[in-house]
Amino acid sequence: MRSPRQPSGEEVGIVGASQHPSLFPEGRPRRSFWILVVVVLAAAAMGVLTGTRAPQKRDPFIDAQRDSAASGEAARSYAELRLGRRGPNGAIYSDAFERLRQAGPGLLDPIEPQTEADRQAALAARADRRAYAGAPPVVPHAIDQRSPGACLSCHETGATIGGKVAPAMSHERFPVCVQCHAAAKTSVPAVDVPPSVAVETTFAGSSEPGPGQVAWEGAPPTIPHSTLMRENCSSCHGPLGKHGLRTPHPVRTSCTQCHASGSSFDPGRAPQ
Amino acid sequence: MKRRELLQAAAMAGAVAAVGRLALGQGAQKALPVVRDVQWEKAPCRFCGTGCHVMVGTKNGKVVGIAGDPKAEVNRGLLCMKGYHVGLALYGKDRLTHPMLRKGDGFEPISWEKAIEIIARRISDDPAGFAFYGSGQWTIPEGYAAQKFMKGGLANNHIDPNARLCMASAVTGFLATYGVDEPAGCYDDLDEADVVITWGNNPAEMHPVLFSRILDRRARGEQVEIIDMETRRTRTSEHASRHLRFNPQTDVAIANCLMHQLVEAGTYDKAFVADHCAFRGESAPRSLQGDAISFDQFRQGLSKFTLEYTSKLSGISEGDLRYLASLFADRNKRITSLWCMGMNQHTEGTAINSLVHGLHLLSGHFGRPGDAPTSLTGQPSACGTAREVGTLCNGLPGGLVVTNPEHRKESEQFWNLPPGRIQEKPGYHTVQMWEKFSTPKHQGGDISTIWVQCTNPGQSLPNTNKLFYPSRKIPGKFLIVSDVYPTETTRHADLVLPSALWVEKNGMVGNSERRTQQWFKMVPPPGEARDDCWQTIAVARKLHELGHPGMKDKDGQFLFDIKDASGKSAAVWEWKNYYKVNVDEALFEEYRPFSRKKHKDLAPYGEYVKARGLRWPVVQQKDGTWRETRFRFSAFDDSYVTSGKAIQFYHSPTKDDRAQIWLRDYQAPPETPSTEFPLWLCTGRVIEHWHTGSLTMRIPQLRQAMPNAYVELHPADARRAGLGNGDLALLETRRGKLTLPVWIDGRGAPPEGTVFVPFFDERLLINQLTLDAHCPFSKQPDYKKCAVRVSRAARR
Repeated sequence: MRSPRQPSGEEVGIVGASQHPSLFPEGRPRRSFWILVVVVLAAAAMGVLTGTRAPQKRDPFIDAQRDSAASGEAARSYAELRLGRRGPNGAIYSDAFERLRQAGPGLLDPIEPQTEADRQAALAARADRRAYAGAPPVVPHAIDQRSPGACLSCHETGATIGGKVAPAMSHERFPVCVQCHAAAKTSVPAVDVPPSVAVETTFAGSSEPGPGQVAWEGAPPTIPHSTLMRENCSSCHGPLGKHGLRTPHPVRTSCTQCHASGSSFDPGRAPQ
Repeated sequence: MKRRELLQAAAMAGAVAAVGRLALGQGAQKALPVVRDVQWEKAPCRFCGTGCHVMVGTKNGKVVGIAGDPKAEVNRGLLCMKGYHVGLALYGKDRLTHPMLRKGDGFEPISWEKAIEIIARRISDDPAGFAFYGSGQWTIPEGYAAQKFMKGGLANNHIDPNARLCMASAVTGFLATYGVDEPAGCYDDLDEADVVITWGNNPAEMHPVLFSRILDRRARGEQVEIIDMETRRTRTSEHASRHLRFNPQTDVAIANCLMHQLVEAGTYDKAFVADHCAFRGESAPRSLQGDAISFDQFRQGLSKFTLEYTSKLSGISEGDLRYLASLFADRNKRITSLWCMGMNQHTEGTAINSLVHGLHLLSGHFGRPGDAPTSLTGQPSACGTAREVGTLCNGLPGGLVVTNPEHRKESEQFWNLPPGRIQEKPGYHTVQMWEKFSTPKHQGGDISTIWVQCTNPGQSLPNTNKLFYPSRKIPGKFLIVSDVYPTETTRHADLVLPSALWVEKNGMVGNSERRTQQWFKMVPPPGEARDDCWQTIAVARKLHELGHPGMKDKDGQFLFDIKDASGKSAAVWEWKNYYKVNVDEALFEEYRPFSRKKHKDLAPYGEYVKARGLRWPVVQQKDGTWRETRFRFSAFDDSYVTSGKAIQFYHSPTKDDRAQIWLRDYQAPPETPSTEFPLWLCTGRVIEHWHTGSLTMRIPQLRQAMPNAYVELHPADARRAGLGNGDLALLETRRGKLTLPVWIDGRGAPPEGTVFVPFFDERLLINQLTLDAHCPFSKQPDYKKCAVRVSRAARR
């Protein structure tokens, strides 16, 4: 299926040919005629070439809106998909995200003092988005239902936008974020039917067991939690982490050089 | 308390106090419960048929956390959003905690003793009118106890599981092709395939852990081509290399067309076919067995499935049909086909299952890692219980069937029953069972009592206005339901029994890749909730006390007379004794000999305690160890293949080691869109919810992500009906009507002419609209296509 916006090559060629007889004068053709012939042939040739050129890459969003006969589609990169979802004018938005990003604190910027109360407040805010310590956090904003990789725009490296922090992923990159992370704000249109099942739960999830052990004042604390799916310490403890959980020395990025692992919290460990 | 703990407790007390002060200031923060010393233990996830293992964190008799199990081969430490929240499934506030008997419009709590007696009396009053409706969520021992109780004890074959609605067509497809059920390959194929074809399948939402296992390979730089054969654009399509849209029901024609091209071009695998295959076609009348046909007849039969004919019928372009055939013609590529409900919930379910197996066999894309036709299951033990324990109306454990006199005799010997106890005639399959229950006795409705365990037919049966609700108004029909929460089924029941759930009991299940898994009870069930298996054994014992002769074996011993370590009867029918012995282990060891009848060998119970599941056949080695089998019928891995053969279909239906390549003609669907009902209605699931949502709708994180059902519409269809996003649409079929909010360009995007509705929401019951037409051989209904009309609904 070709886009109706693109006149096909064959059409261009036929238009050229149909003009041909009317331009045939009696007697010897004049010089201007030959110029016309060359022009017409050139137009026809271009038309044929345009027609045989591979069709334009199609837009999955627009395709899905078209008829059901559409079938077969080449793979596209995440960038193309992101762009494609915005329609024909997508290009003008291509650096919008970069423009929105605010400069965050750098590794060498001074850290504000943090108290135990700050730490507890940060943990409470964390727990609000998790069923238990170690649960995948829910997504506190609406999500695009069918855009693989869209989450990575902000969460791959972390970002500050409009004063809000999008934390970097704490784990290695997995291909489908929404496999584990449920949206806390649904985009499903609501319907006015009363809930028929209990919405309350009596589940009380485990909380973060911390703080870590400190052998003497000034010693590096041990890691007080499992590091399963939490290999990237800077996600929570880096400069974009919540106030109360940040490391006082973000410039030192090899955390486990000094902080002993929390393997005793590892759920993979055999029961004692 | 150790010094360290004391210090931590003191620090924590100070911290909590600090938060308290903070909370007074800000009003929003809450103090966190401090949970330490969590015990972690393995269990398979309670939800789908993937069979991920989770680590369950418990403390003080409660589940407090979940983690992906890094030791599990299936999921390698990762889960999906349902798996990560599976522990919360136990803790909805409205758990059923007491047996309840209907009284007028409501229920009154009764004792377990009375409840068990009521069931036993219902059965002894009309033994032939009793039916057991079970589930692919029955654990293996639960299903085994129900199976033995019905077919071995009551000599009654009216036992069928909800798996009839889920994978019966997969079973008939395997039987028709290989003569024995369940896939030859396993999930390892997903790590090796160059091409993965999803046939009407959306694993990105329904088997997310398996789908991301494929995508992970791309992230590692491997090339995997994913071809999504779809009737609706889904999250799977978004990741696919190509998505090919076909018209509903025409997958049968597509498979035939691909085989037609391979045969005509001579690009099929001639050596593989000559050595290992035979051809089979339709008999008159049509049957599951069919008739043997020659290659020429096969070729002739395929000849109508030309590119032109198939393209016109299916909507897939000739170029794409040619491309698909070229993939199968290329023996250097490894191709895995995946399917689930799209092919199974199909009035030609047996046909399309057989044809996709046939396509792989014809092209030789079989038996090498990565080359596999793999059927996925939807329930945690659809394979382990419904299929392997055979809790189907014609089944016996281990792949045996009631219609075979040898099989009945062997089963009677295993169970030590007098000859002739097991009946030859298959019982009622699911649709029949509920139809008979919803028909008055004088009109032939000879089922008077149904006991439902682990499933919710009031929501999940098709066409419930015909199959479910009428029974509730017919005097003398008695519905017993064992469940963990109130559901559409319990609300209409006469007797409701509270059950233990998941890690509140011991269990064993079997996943899609023949993997048998085990877990131990970790926390107590709430209130008076008790194991389903105990409930069955207690009713059997009550019938024994009432003098039912079937409850004894031929030596006069009770059917479930489980012994303790000293050899004395453990009297497990008394709840106080039930966990004094391991009933699961006793029943599993009793069941194991059946598994050897069709080379589905299971290892001793203790092996499963140690493992994260083992794939059968699990064969004991000379050194005494037990070895699982990843690739069945292939000499390099399956020890049952005779030495010297590369591939051997040792349960061939033709008894000559040959698998059958089927020719099944295209049949039009029973109901198609018309002027009156111009659109297709397709139903299915979403990633957040599992089946009827009775567990997942009680998990806040999942419920808030997907709080209600909706109808997906194509913008053009919406425009015609005057509907926009969020408007209320009225859906009407010949069977029922329902009002739903419209979601355009939401989770999925159906093509023009198709609407999609998920079935998880018990307030918006789409199965009042669906069709109960089913595959003639598997008896599995088609939930994926019927005719519907959509209009603007009056405001509620």
